[in-house]
Amino acid sequence: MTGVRYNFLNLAILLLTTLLFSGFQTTFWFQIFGSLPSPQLWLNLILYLILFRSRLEGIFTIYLLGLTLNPFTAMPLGILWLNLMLIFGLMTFIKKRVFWPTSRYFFMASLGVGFIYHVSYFLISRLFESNPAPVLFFHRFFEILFTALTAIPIYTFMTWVDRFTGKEILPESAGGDS
Amino acid sequence: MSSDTGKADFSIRWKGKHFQSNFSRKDHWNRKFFLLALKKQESPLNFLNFDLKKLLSILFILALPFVSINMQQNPLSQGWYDRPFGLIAAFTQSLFFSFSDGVRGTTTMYLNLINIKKDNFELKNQNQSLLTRLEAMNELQRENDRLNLLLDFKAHTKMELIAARVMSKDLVSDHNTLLLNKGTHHGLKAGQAVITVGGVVGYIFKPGTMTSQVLLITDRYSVVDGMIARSRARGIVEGKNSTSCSLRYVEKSEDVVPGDLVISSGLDNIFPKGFPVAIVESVENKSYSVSLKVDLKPVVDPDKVEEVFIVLNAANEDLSDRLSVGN
Repeated sequence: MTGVRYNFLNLAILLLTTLLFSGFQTTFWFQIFGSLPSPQLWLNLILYLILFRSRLEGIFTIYLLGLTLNPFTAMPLGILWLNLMLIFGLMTFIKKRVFWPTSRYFFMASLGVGFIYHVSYFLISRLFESNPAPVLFFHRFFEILFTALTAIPIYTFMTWVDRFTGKEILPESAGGDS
Repeated sequence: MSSDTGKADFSIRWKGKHFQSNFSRKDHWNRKFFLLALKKQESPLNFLNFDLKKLLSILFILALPFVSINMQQNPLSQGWYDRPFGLIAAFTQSLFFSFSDGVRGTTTMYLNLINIKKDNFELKNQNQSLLTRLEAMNELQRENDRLNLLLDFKAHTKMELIAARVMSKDLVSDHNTLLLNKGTHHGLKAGQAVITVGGVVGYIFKPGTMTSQVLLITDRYSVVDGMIARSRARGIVEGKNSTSCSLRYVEKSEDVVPGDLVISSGLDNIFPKGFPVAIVESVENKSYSVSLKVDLKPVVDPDKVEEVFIVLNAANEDLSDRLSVGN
């Protein structure tokens, strides 16, 4: 297979994973645990793209993922994209200053991205919506926590997918995992 | 025989006297007989040649069983000499009995334990299987009750309804939506009311071919026309968070108190008129506001909804009379 085909395979796996993760979170988790805050598995995928893809590829893939996620929520696509881009900008800013490609870093970044997501959404909602989002402190707190708990398995899985599809790893993200 | 008789190559001292014989020194048996002859010379009265001590000893040994037999003529009686031995024997036997009983008991217990463990395992499995079946039966019973209620409701209304099951919820916690297993293929359209027997759930938001997303009345984007059943005060039911909503645009002069039932007004012809929506939790009359601040609690808990009805045609049904009894 050529490099382009490998890239397509990687993207296809990524989109399929997003669908599976979203399905798991919205259906399986809901059917089993009811209203218990669920881990936002998709957010870890977004984080992985921010950390381990080039800027252009990252932006393109995140937009695509936004489209994939949109049917699972009542959140308007515009707000979803805006939120994802805000996360992208902030995490890229942090990545340029502090970055080491390990699962531990990914775990900490997952905590950070969870926090950024909720804060940015809360602010966007205040700015653009007539009936803004409520605080829901504990619900959001547990969501961030559960999301971070799933970070390492997702990181391991995604690095495996990248290796399997022969995905080119960015120079700054090259290195051994702990 | 005297010490000076003939040629002697064997001599012996017997009771201080010295005897000599011409027996060969190596002849052992001759020497024995020679000694016996000397002894006979020493005891001239024992002419029958008996060893009296030996004889008495033998007689005594032989007499003991006879004496014993004689003393045990009555087998039921126990002699005095027999008691200590009997006691010791009994004690010893008791000890051994206890020991063997203990060994047997331990062995039996061990064997029983093995059997008990096996039985316990089997019973546990059986119990688990029965509990699972019981739970499945209970769940079926509950489902049956719910479906019966739905059927009964459907049978007694002139509205055109379609039943659906809840599949999933929203991806993000900031929105409250549910996904139903019915879509445009089943005749669903955006804006159609979603209800249960208990009250209003929401309305169809994003209809898909085989599934549809329902915007719950608790979602921030949701608005439903409602009114207070008791005072007929009108307002708009707007979602707040996953567990509550509010009644907006209620004039300050209106009569609203906590506990009032909010029903659908039916003006939109989406929801049937007079269908329960929520209960008034609190009412605030702020001086700077033009309307009352009314907090509501939905009558239907969205987290516990499993089956719903989608109103395909409300047919201008008015349920006010039937449902306002409680107010």
